[in-house]
Amino acid sequence: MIVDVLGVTCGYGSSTVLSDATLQVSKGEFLGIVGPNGSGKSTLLKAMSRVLPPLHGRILLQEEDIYKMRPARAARHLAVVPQEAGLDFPFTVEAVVMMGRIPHLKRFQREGPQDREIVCEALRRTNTLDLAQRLVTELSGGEKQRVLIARALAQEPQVLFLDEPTSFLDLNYQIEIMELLNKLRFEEGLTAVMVVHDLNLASQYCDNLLVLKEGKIFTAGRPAQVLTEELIKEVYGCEVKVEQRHPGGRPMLFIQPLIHRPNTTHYRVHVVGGGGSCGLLFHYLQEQGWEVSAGVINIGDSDWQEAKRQGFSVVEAAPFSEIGLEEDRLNRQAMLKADYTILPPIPFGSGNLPNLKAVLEMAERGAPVIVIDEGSIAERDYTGGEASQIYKKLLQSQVHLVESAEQAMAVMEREADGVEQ
Amino acid sequence: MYFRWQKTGCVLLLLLLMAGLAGCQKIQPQPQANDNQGVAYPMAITDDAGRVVTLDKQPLRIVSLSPSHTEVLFALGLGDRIVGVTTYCDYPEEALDKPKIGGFSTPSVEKIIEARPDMVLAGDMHQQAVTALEAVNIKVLVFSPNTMEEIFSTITAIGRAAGEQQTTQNLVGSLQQRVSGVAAKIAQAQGPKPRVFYEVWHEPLMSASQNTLIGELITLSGGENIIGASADLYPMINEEIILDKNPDIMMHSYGHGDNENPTVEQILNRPGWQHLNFVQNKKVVGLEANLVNRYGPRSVDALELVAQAVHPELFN
Amino acid sequence: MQHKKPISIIIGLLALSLIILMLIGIGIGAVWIPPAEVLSLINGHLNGSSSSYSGQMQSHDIIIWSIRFPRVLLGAMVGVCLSVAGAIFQGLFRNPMADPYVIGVSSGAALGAVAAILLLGSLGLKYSYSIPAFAFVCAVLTILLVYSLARTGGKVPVMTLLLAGIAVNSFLSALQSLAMFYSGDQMHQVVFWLLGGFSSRGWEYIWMFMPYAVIGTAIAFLYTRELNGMLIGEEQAQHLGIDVERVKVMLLIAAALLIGASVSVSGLIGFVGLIIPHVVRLIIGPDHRVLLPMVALTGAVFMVGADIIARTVIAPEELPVGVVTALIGGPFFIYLLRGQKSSLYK
Repeated sequence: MIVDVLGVTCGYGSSTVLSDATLQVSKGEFLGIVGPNGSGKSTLLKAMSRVLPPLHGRILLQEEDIYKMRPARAARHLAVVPQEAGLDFPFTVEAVVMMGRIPHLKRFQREGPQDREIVCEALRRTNTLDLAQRLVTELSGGEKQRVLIARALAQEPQVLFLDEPTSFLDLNYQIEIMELLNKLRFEEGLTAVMVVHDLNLASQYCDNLLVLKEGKIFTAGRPAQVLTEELIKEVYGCEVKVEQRHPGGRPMLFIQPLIHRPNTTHYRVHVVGGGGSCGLLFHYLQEQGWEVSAGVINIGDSDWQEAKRQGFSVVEAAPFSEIGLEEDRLNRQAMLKADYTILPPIPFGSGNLPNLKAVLEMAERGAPVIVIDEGSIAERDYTGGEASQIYKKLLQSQVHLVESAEQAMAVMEREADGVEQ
Repeated sequence: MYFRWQKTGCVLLLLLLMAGLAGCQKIQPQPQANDNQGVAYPMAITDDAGRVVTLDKQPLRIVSLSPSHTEVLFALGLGDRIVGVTTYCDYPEEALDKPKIGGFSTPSVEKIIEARPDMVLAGDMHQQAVTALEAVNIKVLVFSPNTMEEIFSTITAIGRAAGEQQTTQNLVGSLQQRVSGVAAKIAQAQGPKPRVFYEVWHEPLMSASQNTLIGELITLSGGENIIGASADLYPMINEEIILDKNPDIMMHSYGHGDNENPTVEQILNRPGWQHLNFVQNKKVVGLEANLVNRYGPRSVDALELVAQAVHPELFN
Repeated sequence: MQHKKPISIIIGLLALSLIILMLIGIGIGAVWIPPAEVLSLINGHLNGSSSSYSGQMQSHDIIIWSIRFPRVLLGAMVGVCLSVAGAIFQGLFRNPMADPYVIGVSSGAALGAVAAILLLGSLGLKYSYSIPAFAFVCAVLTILLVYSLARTGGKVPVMTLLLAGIAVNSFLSALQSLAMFYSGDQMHQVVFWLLGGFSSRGWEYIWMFMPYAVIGTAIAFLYTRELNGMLIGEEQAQHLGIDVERVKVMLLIAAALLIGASVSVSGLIGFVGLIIPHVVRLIIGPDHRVLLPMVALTGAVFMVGADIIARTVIAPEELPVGVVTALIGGPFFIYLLRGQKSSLYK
C-alpha cells in the first residue's frame, strides 16, 4: 500500500463535506474517484494531496503521515496536476516545468545539469519537448495540461494526483492524456489517483474506481464490478444502459434518451395535425426515422411549417380555407397507406372537420388509429358541438387511446416489439 | 501549517528594539542659562529652539532667512556683514541689493553654503534647512519672538552674537523708552476699553488671538480684543461673533497683494454690518502688513500706530 | 517569440544610465558648478585631497558632497525600494495593479511616520531611527487590513483590491489631515515632508534608512524562486512544496520594511511601484530571478531622473517629486486600467 486514507473527515467551517473515508491505494495503481457533483471528490483529493488537512483521520504515504511532513519533502513524493492551468503569466514552458524541481533545491541552490536533464525527460515523456521555449499563455488546452503533467513529473513523485485533468479538453486530448498516464504507470511504476467526471473514460482506463455519494464512499472496486445500471441509478439518479464488450470487461455506459429503440421496424405514420400541437410528436417520429405524412393542414400553420421543415409529405389546404373534397380524398388515401394514423389534440373548426370525420371512418374500418386525448374535446370544439359528437363516437370505436405523444410512441413500439418477436 | 513564528517573531522583535534604542539616541540638550554677558569669543548662545550654538569668532558674514531678521540686522548697523537674504527682504531698501538665497519658506541650502556664512539667522519654519546646515557645520540661530519682550531679547541676542553690545543696548534702550511712553499715555485713558476687531483675512474670516503680537499690541494700547485668548493663534471666526460683540474699532492690514485687500469702502458696505459701531463711526484703520507680520524695531512703530488708533484722544 | 534577450546587455545599459544620471543629479543644483569642477571635486573626495580645500572650492565641495550626493544616492535607493516593493505586491497578489501607493500601504506608513515625528518632536527628541520603525509597523498593519478586505475566496481580484485601497487611502488621508490639524507649529514641516521629495536630505537620512532597506531588499531577493511559484497560484505553489503562508509573511514584511523606510525619508511618492515592475516585466518576462534586479536598477534610474526633473522644471523652486511621479504614473495607471477592463468582470 502506498497511500492509506484512514477515517478521514473533511469540512469547511461547520459543514462536513467528506465523512469517514477509508481507502488504500496500491503502488502502480490507477485509481479513479467518481461521483456526482458535491459528493466530495475534490475534497478527498485535496485531503490526499496535502492541501486540506482533515478534521479527523490521517493520510499516510508509505506509512508516513503526510501532514506531518515538511512541504518540500511531501512535494518530492507526491505531485498534483490541477484542473485549471493557472498559467496566466508568460513563462516559458521550460520555466514552468523547471518549477517542478523546487522541492529538490535548497534555498541558494541553482538548477544544475541534473535538474535540466530531468526537466528534459519530463518534457519528452509528455511530448512537449518542442514546446519548451514557447510561452505557456500561447498554448492550447491540451498542451497546457501536458505541461502541467510534465511539471508534476519533474518533481519525481511516486504518486500523481490529478483533479479532473480532462474536463475542459477536446476528445482527442482527453484520450491522449489518459494514454500518457497509462504509459507512465507501466513504464515508471507511477501511482495515479484521479478525480474524473467522465465515467466511460474512467471505466476504460482506471484499475479501480472509488464511488462517492454525498460525502461518503459508496463503493469501490474494478469498473466491471462497480459500474452497473443499479449503481448509476442509485448514485446519479438516472437510467443508463451498461454494456460490456466481453464478459467481465470494462463497461461502457449508454445514455438513454426517451426514444432509444433502434429502429429495426420501419413504420409509416400519418399525423392529422394543425394548430401547432404536433411539434413534439413530429420530433419523436423524426428521431425514430419513420416515414411521416401529415394532413390536412392549412398552409402557413405552424404544424405545416414544422412538417415541411422535417421533410414530411403534407396534404395541404389553402391558408385559412376549408378543406375541400380533393384534399379530403388525398388525406384518406394517405391514412390508408399508413401503418398508423395519429390524431393529436388539435382544435376543430368547421374548416377542418372533414379531418375528424376521416379519422372516424378509418377507425370504424378497423385501421390502427391512435388518439392522443389531452384536455377535453369541449375546449377544442369550435363547431358548436358537432366535433364533440364525432369525437365521442371515435372514442367508442377501436382506437388506441393515450394521453401524450410519449405514450403514443410507446404504443407503436410495443407493437413493434410484438412484430419483432 | 508550517509557519515558524519563532524565527520571524525574533527578527521582528530585534528590528523594533533596534529602532527603539536608536530612536532615543539623539536627545536635545537642555537649555542653559546664558551667563556670559561679555563679548568674548568663542561665545555660546542659546536660541529659541533650545539649541546651544558656539560661535568661534565674531561673525562677519551673516545670512538671514527671514525679512524680520534682515530688518533687525540693518537696524543694528550690521548691513555690511549681510551676505545673503531672502527674496522677500525689502526693508530697508539696501536689502534689495543683497544676494538672494531663496524664498521665505524655501531657502536654498546650496546658496547658503556658497555664501560661506559665519552665522545664519533662521525662523521656526526652517527646520529642514537648519538640519541640513547643521550637518555641514554651519552655525544657525533660530529666533521666533511672539511678544514685545521676546522681540527685545531677540534683538539683544542677535546683537550680542554679532559682537555689537553697545549698539544693541542703545537700540533696545530707545525702543523700550518709546514703549514706556505709550504705556504712560495709555494709563491715562478713561472710560471703558474700546473693543477692537483685527481682521487678518476676509475670505475666510480670520482674526488674531491675544497670544499673537498684534493681539499684544492691542492690549498694550488699552484696547480689548474681541477674540481673547484662543488655542489657535489665528482662528477662523464666524461673522456672528462680530455682530455679537459689536466692536468699536476695526483694524486690518494691507499690502498682501494689490487686488486682494478690501478697501475701507468695501468694508463699510459689507452686508449686515451697517449697525456695527465701527461702521457707524467709520473707525476702520489699516496697518501696513509688514509692520504687523514681521517682528523687529518697526514693531514699536506698529505699537504707536495701534495706540493712536485705539485712543486717538491721547495722542494729539 | 524570442525570449532569451541579452540580459547582461540590458543590465549594463541600465547601470550606465544610472551612473550618468547620478552624475547629472550631482552636477545640477541652485548653485552653478561647472561639470569639470564637479568631476574633479568628486575625484578629490575619493582620493582624500578634499580636506585641504578652502574658500569657494570648499563650499562647492560641501555642496557636492554633503548636499547633492546624499540626495541623489537616497533617490536611487528609494527608487530601488519602492519598485521592489511594487514587484513584491504584484507577484503576491498576482495583479499588475498592485502598488504600495494605490493600495494604501504608503499612506499607512506615512501616518506612522507622521505620528512618530509629532510624538518625538513634542518630547523634544530628535527624530531618527524610530521613524522608519513606526512607519514599518503601520505599513504592516495596513497591508493586513487591505489584504483581508480585498481577499475573496482565496484570491485577490483586481476590483476588490483597488476598492480596498481606495477605502483605506481615504480613511488614512483623513487621519493624516487630523494629525496635521493638531500638529500646531510643526504642521509646516509635516506638510512639506508629506508632499514627498529629497531636498535637504543629508547623510543621516541615509544611515536611518539603510538597515531597513537593505534587510527588505535582501529578503525579497532570497524569495525570488518562491515568488515565481506564487504566480501560478497559491494552491499550486503549495503543491510544489512551497510554504505559502510563510513566504507570504516574509515577503509582506520585506515590502513593509521597504515602504516604511522609503516613506520615512522621502514622504509619499506614488506610482513608482506600479510603473516600474510592470514595464520591466513586459520586457523581461515574469521570472523574478531576473525581474527583481532589473526592477531595482530601473527604479533607481527612474527615481533619480524624476528628482532631476523636479529640481529643474521650475527652478529655482522645486516641485515635490511625488508630483512628477504622479504626472507620469497617473496616465499610465489609466492606461493599465483600460487594459484590465476586459478582465475586471472575472
